[in-house]
Amino acid sequence: MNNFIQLSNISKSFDNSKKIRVLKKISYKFKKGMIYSLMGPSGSGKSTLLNLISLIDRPTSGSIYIENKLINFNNSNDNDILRANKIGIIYQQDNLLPDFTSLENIYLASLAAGNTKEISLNKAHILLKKVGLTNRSEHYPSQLSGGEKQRVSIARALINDPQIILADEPTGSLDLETAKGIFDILKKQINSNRIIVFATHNRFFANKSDCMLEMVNGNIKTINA
Amino acid sequence: MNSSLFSALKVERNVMFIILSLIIIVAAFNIISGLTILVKNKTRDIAILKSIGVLNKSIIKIFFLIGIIIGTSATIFGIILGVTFSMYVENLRQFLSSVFNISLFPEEIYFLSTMPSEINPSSIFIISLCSIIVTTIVSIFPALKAAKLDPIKALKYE
Repeated sequence: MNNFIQLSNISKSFDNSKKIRVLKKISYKFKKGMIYSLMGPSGSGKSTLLNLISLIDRPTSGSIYIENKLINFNNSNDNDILRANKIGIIYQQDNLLPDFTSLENIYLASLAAGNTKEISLNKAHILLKKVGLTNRSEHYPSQLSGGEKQRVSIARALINDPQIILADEPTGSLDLETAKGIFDILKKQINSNRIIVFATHNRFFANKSDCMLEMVNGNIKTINA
Repeated sequence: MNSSLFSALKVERNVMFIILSLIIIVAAFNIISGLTILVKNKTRDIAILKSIGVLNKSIIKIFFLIGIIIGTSATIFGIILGVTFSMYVENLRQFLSSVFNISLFPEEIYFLSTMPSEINPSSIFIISLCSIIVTTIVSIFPALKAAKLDPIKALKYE
């Protein structure tokens, strides 16, 4: 009943000089209220899978259902709206807009979801406080440390209260202590109405998830649930 | 009596029109290339905007507006410069003649005691309108290019 994301026979190939099949007929159901960790070596398809779930990329074959609704990858407009409202994405590298301050980077995502500037600003201020960066609101990404940038990214991902949070190696470029702090913030965001999926190479963090998944030969293998 | 002179003036007017049209075309290509470079430089930013759910039409709007702002401000700047030049063309001729110690447009050759100049508001309006329309049209192409950008490639390789 609480299957929120359903992958049905998802395959993804890349046509370069040689055709590479990254994902091979993956079928999986992600349930609400759970934190999933996605492990696997580099090139195993973790990022590709997250890009498909975030509707940024389209599968070569197969279907994705979100809230039991089949995603139509030809309708990019609807998918953009869905992504703005229901999906928050955190990348490994700081994917913040360099010409905008922390506050602007955060509230821009709310504007994209159709909120007014006033509402967006209020939400951004609350989130900056939540991630402990109130004093950094007017700083540009170049003036922030790696950990601070990630906290801004988390705040941006949370501003529209998304039901899905996808994090692609969010602690990958941070030292262990900072990474623990970032992971704690991320873990606190789980609630009964939300799914968090994070890709990681770090087994320490993966062990803290509710369900450990591993990418093996282009497929998902459940290690523990 | 002066039919050959008028004919020559007419030819000159047509040639000037062609030259000015070519200048507008070159300017339009400048706007296209400028905006294309801007889109290229902002590839990563566009990908980030897409990843947070900004609609393609909003991205088109951003770059389209930049093109219109450039075109309109350049047109306004051009009008101010052109009108000022027309108003003070005689003063400018005298100034340049005195600075470089040469006789610019001598009266004995050109039969003109002063540099003729006429400010025609309707011509200014038509030229401004054409210039804004051309820049608006050419802004569409880079804007569409920005919207078509693949965010995966941009985030991965930029």
